[in-house]
Amino acid sequence: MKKLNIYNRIQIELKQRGVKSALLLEELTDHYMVEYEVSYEQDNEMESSIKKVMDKMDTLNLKKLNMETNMIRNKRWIQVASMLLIIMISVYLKFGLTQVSYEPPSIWPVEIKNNNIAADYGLMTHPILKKKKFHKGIDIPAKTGDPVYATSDGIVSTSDDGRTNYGKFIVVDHDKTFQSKYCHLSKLMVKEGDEVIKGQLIGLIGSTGLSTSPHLHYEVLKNGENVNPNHYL
Amino acid sequence: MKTSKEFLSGTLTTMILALLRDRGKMYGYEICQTTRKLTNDEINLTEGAIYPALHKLEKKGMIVSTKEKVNGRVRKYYAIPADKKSVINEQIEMLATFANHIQSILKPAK
Repeated sequence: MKKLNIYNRIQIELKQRGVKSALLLEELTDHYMVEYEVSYEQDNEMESSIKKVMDKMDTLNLKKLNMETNMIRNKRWIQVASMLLIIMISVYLKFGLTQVSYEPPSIWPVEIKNNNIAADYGLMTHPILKKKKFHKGIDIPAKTGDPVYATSDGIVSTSDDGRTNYGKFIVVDHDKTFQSKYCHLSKLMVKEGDEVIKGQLIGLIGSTGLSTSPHLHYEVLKNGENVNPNHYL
Repeated sequence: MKTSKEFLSGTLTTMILALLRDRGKMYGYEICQTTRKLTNDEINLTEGAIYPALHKLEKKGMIVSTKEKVNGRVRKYYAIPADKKSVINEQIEMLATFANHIQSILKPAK
């Protein structure tokens, strides 16, 4: 009867000091009972032996021990849970965040008025240079100041105010594959690094650079190579 | 100077396995006590060190546990299963060799 009481006292004390796991509690109670028995054999003093044992218990260490044993037992569960979490995070990062730039161009870069293209994609005689040249985009006539729209979601990789043949021009990167290029603008309304969405106003029609009249020279690039923009309108 | 925790961290499981190999089944307190005796109180394993190590070994299948009634309470004994004996022997041998190497490095040069 006496022994059972001490057993209970030790067990309750351990529980209070953070040992919640039933398996560990059973094992540790036995451990401290042996400590008690060894101590009792030495000085034959029940209460002082119990006190000695209780003093040896370190609440902080017991809590840590309890946690560690739980971790070991539930390791597989924790691994599965953290794997799931990682998968969810990567799915979110891949499709939730970078979705912004995931479609090839699919609309007209200007408001369609008469749907005409002044100079189509392909081989043609340059109106100013008067030489046969490959025309890398399409020329859409428009009025100076008409709005130019991004043809798909993406990030502005170039917004060039310089004095090249293209005049003021903008390049938007869509997914890793596609880019769209808008040239001869009179005004740039986005900066490099800006995120744009499909249909967003990014600049105004002009005639800057090597150009005879206000129009938009529009190019679509796939993997860095020019492709026929007519397929992406 | 008492034995540092860091020295134990890589060697504790192998030491436990060695004790179990030579003494058959043992329980937690007994392992602490035996270690203390064998090392003249130099290596004093705490509950916080011994039980996580035992539980990890059990989870890995390197040791198995049985429960027995002793003095009216349950005691958990650990032992090495037959099919793990050769792997464990190898591991113990490796640590013994390693300890020898360390000793030859640590002893003062003549």
